[in-house]
Amino acid sequence: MRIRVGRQKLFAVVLATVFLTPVISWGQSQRAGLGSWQNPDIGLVYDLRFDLHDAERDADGNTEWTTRGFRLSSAELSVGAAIDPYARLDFNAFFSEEGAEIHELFALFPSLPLNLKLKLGQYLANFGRWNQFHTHSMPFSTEPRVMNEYFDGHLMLDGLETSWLVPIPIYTELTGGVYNGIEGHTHDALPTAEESEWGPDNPPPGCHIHDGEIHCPGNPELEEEYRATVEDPDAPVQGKTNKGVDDLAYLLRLKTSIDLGLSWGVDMGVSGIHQPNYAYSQRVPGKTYSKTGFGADITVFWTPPEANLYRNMDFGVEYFANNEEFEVKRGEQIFQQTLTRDGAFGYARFRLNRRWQFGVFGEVFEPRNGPNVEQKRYGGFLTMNISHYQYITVEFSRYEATPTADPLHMIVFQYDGVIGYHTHGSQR
Amino acid sequence: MNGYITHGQVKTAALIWLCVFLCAALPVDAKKLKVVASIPDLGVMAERIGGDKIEVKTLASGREDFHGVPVRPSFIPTLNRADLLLTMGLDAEHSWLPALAQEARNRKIMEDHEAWIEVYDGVEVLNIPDVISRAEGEQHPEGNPHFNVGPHCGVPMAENIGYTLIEFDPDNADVYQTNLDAYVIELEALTERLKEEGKDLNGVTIVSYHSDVSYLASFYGMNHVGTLEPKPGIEPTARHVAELAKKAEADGTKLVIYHQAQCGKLPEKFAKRIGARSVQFANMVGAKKEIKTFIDLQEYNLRVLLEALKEAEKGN
Repeated sequence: MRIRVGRQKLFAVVLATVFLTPVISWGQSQRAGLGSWQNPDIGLVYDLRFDLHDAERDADGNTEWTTRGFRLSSAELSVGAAIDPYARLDFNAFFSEEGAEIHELFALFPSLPLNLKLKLGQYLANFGRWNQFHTHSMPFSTEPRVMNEYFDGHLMLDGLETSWLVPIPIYTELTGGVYNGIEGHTHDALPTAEESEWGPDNPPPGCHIHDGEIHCPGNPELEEEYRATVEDPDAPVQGKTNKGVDDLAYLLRLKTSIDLGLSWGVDMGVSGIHQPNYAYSQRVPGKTYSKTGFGADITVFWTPPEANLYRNMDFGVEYFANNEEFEVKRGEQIFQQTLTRDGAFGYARFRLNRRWQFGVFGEVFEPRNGPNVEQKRYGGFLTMNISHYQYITVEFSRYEATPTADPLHMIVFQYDGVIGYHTHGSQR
Repeated sequence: MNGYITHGQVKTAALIWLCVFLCAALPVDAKKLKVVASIPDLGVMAERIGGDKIEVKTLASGREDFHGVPVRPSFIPTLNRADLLLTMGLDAEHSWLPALAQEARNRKIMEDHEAWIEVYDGVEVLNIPDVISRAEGEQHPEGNPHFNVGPHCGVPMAENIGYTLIEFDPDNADVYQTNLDAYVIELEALTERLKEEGKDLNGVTIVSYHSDVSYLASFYGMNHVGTLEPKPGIEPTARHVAELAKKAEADGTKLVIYHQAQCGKLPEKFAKRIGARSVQFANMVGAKKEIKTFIDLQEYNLRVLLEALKEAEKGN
């Protein structure tokens, strides 16, 4: 489903998009124009980042502040419109340093009999709160690491989701989904590490793993060296072309929301996802390993009616648990082991006025290579909304990977601007 | 009792749970037309015309800015059961209502479908932009949607609601037509009375926070010389405020107008700076406790404007 193009082509596509979009949008706004009513809604979001971090060490082993420079974090092109009275089609293409990809492409049947809604295609699965947020629409700049640790990023899956609006006065929605498999996706790699520490979760500076593939832009020698360090040719493989029911992943989510007067509200949800045949052993024929994820989230909103345009607040916690079976080789013997980890991400955001908002976040989780080691990450952010359509965020974070290693400090400057039509539905 | 739960007990519990859900889902009175209004102004008008033949629920409380009504999931079950959805139109509710309507599993009330009703037909729409561009701020391409604060807009709003009720519930058409006729007479009388009572406002120069007083200013003949926002929806800047202050002083501005959901600090400070009076008007029914009807809203706004004008003239 994903499309890759070379970097030179990427820039051509981005440029063409930037130049064409205003033309198309102008056409759309002239509703009386012949044929223009057939144009879909089109929008482009530009997300630019610059960071400072202390992942490097000098010759004496002292930390050094360096930068990865300016990065096109994403250029997100969204196109969507009603197909007919029954369904709409939404498309979200993503351009970044890794190339161009289809992030979301789905048909949505918003109103089926029995209070059902159906979503069909590739999209951010209805798992927990933050999984459905595009990174640029989160109040903070960097994605929760706990999602990267347990699911390799956002669960952006191919499949089908149906949601039932429970016919009671309190908003309650039950979602069931079936997908090709559990597959995380992120473009938010941390700057890290020296050669001796290279590993799947610890790429050398300038490298990152995206969709399970190693990338070291502009440095093929390093890419080859890193690949040789981390890849086990006989490790279990994921994915299968001809799928049985156990090769698919299954999701359930229950979400509700309660108003506490006019100013306060609480959204709550629980989610679970399971794939019986998550990985196939290459050493033991027919042997498979499962993966199960669980999440519970609660978010509190304060939106005073008279002041909501310029003052509001929300805070919440999302809990994640992950159970993953995997293969261990000791001598000539193959063992199955299970890794169960949990963690949580919490945040609070306060809008001081129409221009400024700020907040804090913190998370604890266990890394793949050391389930008994607790990792912590916390920080704060400050955002200036230049208008409703562009903002600048500065985020500071401190990442404590182990009790003994030096923590990673990072400052991210993020600029985000949108042209054309772009919406995140009823997300709040 | 051995402490174990039997299959029978589980089935009984499941049946009870299902009954509770289904009972809660049953409509209270299946005969009544279920009307959902985006803002209270439309809700109270629908109640006035529909009487006991309809059941009305309103989403916004009236205290909000109607561009910034919080997106509450709790609106979704209400929208799910609606037979029709009354909206202002002209993109007034674009930032919150279309997305909620799409989540409600009720196709007919989704934007552009048959029961999504916009009530501006017949209103003389003001401020239709010549140039449509984001460089001009958060525009309303089809014109200014804040017509509910214009006393003269009451009649077309009521007629749109009345004719919609007749169309959707022809069995009670006589009741709706009778109530509508009586209401229109009241609104026409209100318009004439307020025009007379508000004649001192004719020619008074005003500045507002946002471009949401055009219909009010137009009705009373006030001279609206600018807004604190440099462009619609764009935060005031020091430079713009300074330029506006010069112009407002030169034009003899007497009133700086803002509503209850806009931060009052800047309008109050600005009014002091130019020697005018700041005045907080109500942008919707429900904005203040005493504003319970469309007529209350218009009377309240005239009263606060006249009081502020009197103070401004005393000050000079």
